[in-house]
Amino acid sequence: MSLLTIDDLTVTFGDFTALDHVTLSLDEGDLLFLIGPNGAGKTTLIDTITGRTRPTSGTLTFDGRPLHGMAEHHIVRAGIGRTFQTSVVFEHLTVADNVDLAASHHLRPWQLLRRRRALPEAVTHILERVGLTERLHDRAGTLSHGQRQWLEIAMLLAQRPRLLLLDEPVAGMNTDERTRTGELLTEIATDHTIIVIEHDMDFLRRYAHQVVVLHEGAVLTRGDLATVQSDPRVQEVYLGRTPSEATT
Amino acid sequence: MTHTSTVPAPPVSRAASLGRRLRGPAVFVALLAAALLVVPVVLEPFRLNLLAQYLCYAIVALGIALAWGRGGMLTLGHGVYFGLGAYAMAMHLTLARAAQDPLDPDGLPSFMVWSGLSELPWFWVPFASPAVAVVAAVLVPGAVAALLGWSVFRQRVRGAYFAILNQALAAAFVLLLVGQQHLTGGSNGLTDFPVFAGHSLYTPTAQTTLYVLTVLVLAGLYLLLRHITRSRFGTLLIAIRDGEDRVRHLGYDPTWAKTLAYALSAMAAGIGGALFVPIMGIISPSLIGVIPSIMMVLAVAIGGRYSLAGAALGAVLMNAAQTTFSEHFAGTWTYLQGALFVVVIALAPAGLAGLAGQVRQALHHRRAHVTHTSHGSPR
Ligand SMILES: Nc1ncnc2c1ncn2[C@@H]1O[C@H](COP(=O)(O)OP(=O)(O)O)[C@@H](O)[C@H]1O
Ligand SMILES: [Mg+2]
Repeated sequence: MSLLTIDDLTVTFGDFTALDHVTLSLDEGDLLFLIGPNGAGKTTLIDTITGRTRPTSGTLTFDGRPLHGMAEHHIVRAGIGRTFQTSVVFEHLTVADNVDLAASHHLRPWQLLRRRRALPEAVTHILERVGLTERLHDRAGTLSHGQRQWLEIAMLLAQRPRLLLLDEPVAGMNTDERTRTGELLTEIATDHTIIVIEHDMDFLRRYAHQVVVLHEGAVLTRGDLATVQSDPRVQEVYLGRTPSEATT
Repeated sequence: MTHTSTVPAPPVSRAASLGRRLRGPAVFVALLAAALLVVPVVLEPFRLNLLAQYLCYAIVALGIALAWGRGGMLTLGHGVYFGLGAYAMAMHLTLARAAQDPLDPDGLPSFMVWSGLSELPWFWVPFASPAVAVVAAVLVPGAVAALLGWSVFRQRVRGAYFAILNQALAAAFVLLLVGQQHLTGGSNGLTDFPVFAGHSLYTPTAQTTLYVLTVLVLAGLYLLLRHITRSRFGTLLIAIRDGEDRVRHLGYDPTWAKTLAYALSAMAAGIGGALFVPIMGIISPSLIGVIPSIMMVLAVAIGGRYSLAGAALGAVLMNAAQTTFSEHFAGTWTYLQGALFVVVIALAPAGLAGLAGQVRQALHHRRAHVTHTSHGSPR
């Protein structure tokens, strides 16, 4: 059964059409890579799914429920989590507090006001999984670029979402960090549904199975990487260059 | 020696870490003991009364530190909440005086008689009860702030817009008080409060009691807010301050969290106002308008908005300085305050508390450095 259904979605900013009649559906357990040149509307698509941007027309359905008009925090509670292209963490809070806060959104106000004891096991477990245990008590502002992106993934996991939307999770990472992130993604994908925006060709080759190409707000094609790459329309969009050359 | 920074710090012994953990509570208890046992004995009544006034502002400062320092809400209108608490108490004290007045059998305050009123306005009636006055001094500011906060935070009004809105509220409140002279005492305010719940307020014992009460309220509120800032709610407030939109995508609705912090902070101001009235002996629009509201925030900025203790200390110091300076060169003080504000915001955004923290850190580094040298040199 389809977990997320996007039907005829259009988003305009003034005269500009950022998403143009996008129709896309995602089954439980899918790992979908979303690529396309800069300005194609990839981030706008995630923004619209998560309630940050309102659709101009069209519908979004998650797990049988329409997402229309839902506030951002209700969408998170319904089971959709995201990261941001410019990883946004709370720099003045410790690494542990960032993740703990993400893990606590289901608590009632009076529970949030209670005295805090040791870190919940789930939080320490997630920090271990992304390899940040040693930085537990450090302020998030002191993390390296790559570590910040892992922290954001940790915060995302702590929310226990069913659908994860990752906006360029390996941008700016070095080769080792990319490999670690790719492995982490593969591992998470075994029991989650994921959309990843990423256009690093090498990364795609290693980890991508299903790819959707977005161009000027419209879905150009969908298929496995080899099929998508050999599609003449895709090559034209990237002006004969490989996606990794055409972006960044 | 060039590698000092790469060498891990020596493990802290358990005793030392326990000592560090107990230092805060020890300082707190020592300060409280001194404030309760020593200060009332050594200060003459006039000075004790002044100190009690400053402590009322310290109570307000704690609330501002919560809303502004933690929650990022620049509350430039706290004079309103201070005023609501103060007027609630002053209305009761005015009725208590009128009830005692042999010349005034109706129990109607004299300013109402002069304004031609023959009957007590309906909203004054409940304030004949001291209990109602005390409860209202806390709940009315809380309710007004909750209503205002909820409606504007829901619309995602924040930053400078929120600050200006607060200022407008303070200006409107003063206009209302001045304009409705027959109901509020107008620009003269309310004054002359001889009794509370059957006890004279004009005796030295009463003033000492009020001072002690203020110290206890300040200490209690400090502990309560300290607990709140250390809870997950406190973490949430910081997160909202630094990235309200990001917080929404973590599954939280910032509206209720901000509303709660803002209302708590208004209630603290109300409590400060209610205590201020019997101590100062007067409340008037000039004490709670736009300028006093800015001064309340200024004191917190100077003391340190990220630190509860810093904010409270800032309020005491600034008000003490105000007394001292305005006795000698009244005009200059206003400019000096403005200059101080600019300097603090530009050079020390964390205020005195932040500077103290930096000094402590520098000393700590030096000590670590020295320890390392003594270990390292024999090799
Ligand atoms: N809030 C907004 N207001 C106006 N234009 C926007 C807004 N958000 C995105 N856009 C525009 O929409 C287009 C798609 O942007 P985006 O979705 O960020 O692209 P990308 O595929 O690189 O993530 C860009 O041209 C961008 O300038
Ligand atoms: Mg983008």
